[in-house]
Amino acid sequence: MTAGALRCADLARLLPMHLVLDEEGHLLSAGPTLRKLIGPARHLEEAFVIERPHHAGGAMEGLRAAAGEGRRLFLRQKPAPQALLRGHAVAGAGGRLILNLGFGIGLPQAVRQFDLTDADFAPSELAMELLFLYEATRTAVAALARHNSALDDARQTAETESLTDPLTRLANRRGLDLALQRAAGALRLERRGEGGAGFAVLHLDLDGFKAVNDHHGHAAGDALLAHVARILTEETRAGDTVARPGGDEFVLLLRGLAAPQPLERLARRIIARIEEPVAIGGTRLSVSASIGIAVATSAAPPDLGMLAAEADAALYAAKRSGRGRCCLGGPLGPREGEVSAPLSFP
Amino acid sequence: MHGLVNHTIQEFVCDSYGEAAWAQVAARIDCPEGFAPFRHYPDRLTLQLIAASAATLGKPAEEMLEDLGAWLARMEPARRLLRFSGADFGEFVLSLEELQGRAHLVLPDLEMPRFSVTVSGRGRFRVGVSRGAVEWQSVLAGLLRAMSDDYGALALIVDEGAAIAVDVSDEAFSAARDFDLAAGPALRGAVA
Repeated sequence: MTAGALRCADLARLLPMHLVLDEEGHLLSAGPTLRKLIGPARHLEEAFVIERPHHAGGAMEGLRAAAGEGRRLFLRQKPAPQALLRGHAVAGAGGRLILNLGFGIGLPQAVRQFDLTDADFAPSELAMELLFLYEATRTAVAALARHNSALDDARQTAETESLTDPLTRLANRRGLDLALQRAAGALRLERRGEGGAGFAVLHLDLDGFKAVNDHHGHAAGDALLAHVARILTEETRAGDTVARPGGDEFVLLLRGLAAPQPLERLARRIIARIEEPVAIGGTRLSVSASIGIAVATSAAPPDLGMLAAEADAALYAAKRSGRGRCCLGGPLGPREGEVSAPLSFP
Repeated sequence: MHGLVNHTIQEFVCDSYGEAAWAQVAARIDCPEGFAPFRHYPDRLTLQLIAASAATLGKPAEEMLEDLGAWLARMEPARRLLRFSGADFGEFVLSLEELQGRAHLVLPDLEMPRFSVTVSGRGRFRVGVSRGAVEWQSVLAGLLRAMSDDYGALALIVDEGAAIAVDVSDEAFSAARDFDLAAGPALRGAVA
């Protein structure tokens, strides 16, 4: 059965992306949308490079073979922007080939490059649907990305809040535990790779804070705690962790620092700064601090419970020996000889 | 209900009447912090939101929802997505039967009702909404009015309750607003 001969004008209406070629590859007819890509070209090879199927016998032989085998064609537009089209071919009377082509997934780009409108596509094509989906999906994805980043910001804020002491903005007990676990984890990795200096934990407790609270009120006490927090932040590096796990207790986690002398020097400097009288609420307040030091090195596996107990015992030893002292703890407990001498000021 | 619906109502109130109006609406509902577009909320909350918005703006709910539909059709991303449905207004009206499918293609959980379109004469249509979706019908009536302007068509659109009557007297009454397939914000810059 034959459907009857179709005039080229009707063929163009039905298939706006078609080509009719004679035996030698001359263009007998080309759809109006395709003409927007190839201009006034009169021969296949003026308009397209056949990307697939490749045929040693040349472009027309390749097309004929594809038509015979029912295979897909891929044609690249010769002039810029060299859009890639895909389609198929059927053999017609007298050695003619009829091709119908489409943009495939490159449609959104082609619409932009060739200034196409819905009138350029046959109603049976899903061009408008693809463009709709392309635009709708990108709009939805952009909205979703905004939504996600808002959620992420909220989550990060909540997480920071949950690890922060609201009064001093230092880490709270949870924040400290997390930092200690990370430092211990890092040290275990260092042990494997060798090198690394370990870390130190300084446990600081204010001396005479209760008296400030009792005599000057909680607002003054809070201001003093914030003042101490500032000193501790100033005396430590950005990578260290300063925490207030509760009350008038502070803990410093110092990374890469385990040698006794520098730690003792730092502890003394901190105590000296805290002991400087400070004006709060119209009065000059004066407190001191005691510090217990414990270190974890890559020589021994860090046990956080043990480390805390060492720092605690060292703090207790420092307290017992008087105000404003620091004491270095160790696996065998703090030794009296290591309790620093009382500080003297000029 | 999909959060996008609630979020859109919130955007409409803020954009058309200001943040102060939204604050008044928010004070009347059980979700004063507002709505996120990609969460789900109980339907009860959406109905509460519609009632609170209408009461705050001092107009019947149907009228408020029609205004919302017209506002939505003027929002560029929504307008462009709607314009993909048809080359002229008549085609657009007929394609409303596909609107649910199109919406669910992108947001499968949107719970948009089905619209049915019957042709009652030359340029005359009746658009129905599946039962129980009266709010959507009001939004659609407003949206149709704005889209007829967008296409440059002269059309009478009346919400008759059982259906929306659309009577297109002139497809090309005035110049249609520009619709360049490639002008979408999402398309621009897609190719280096």
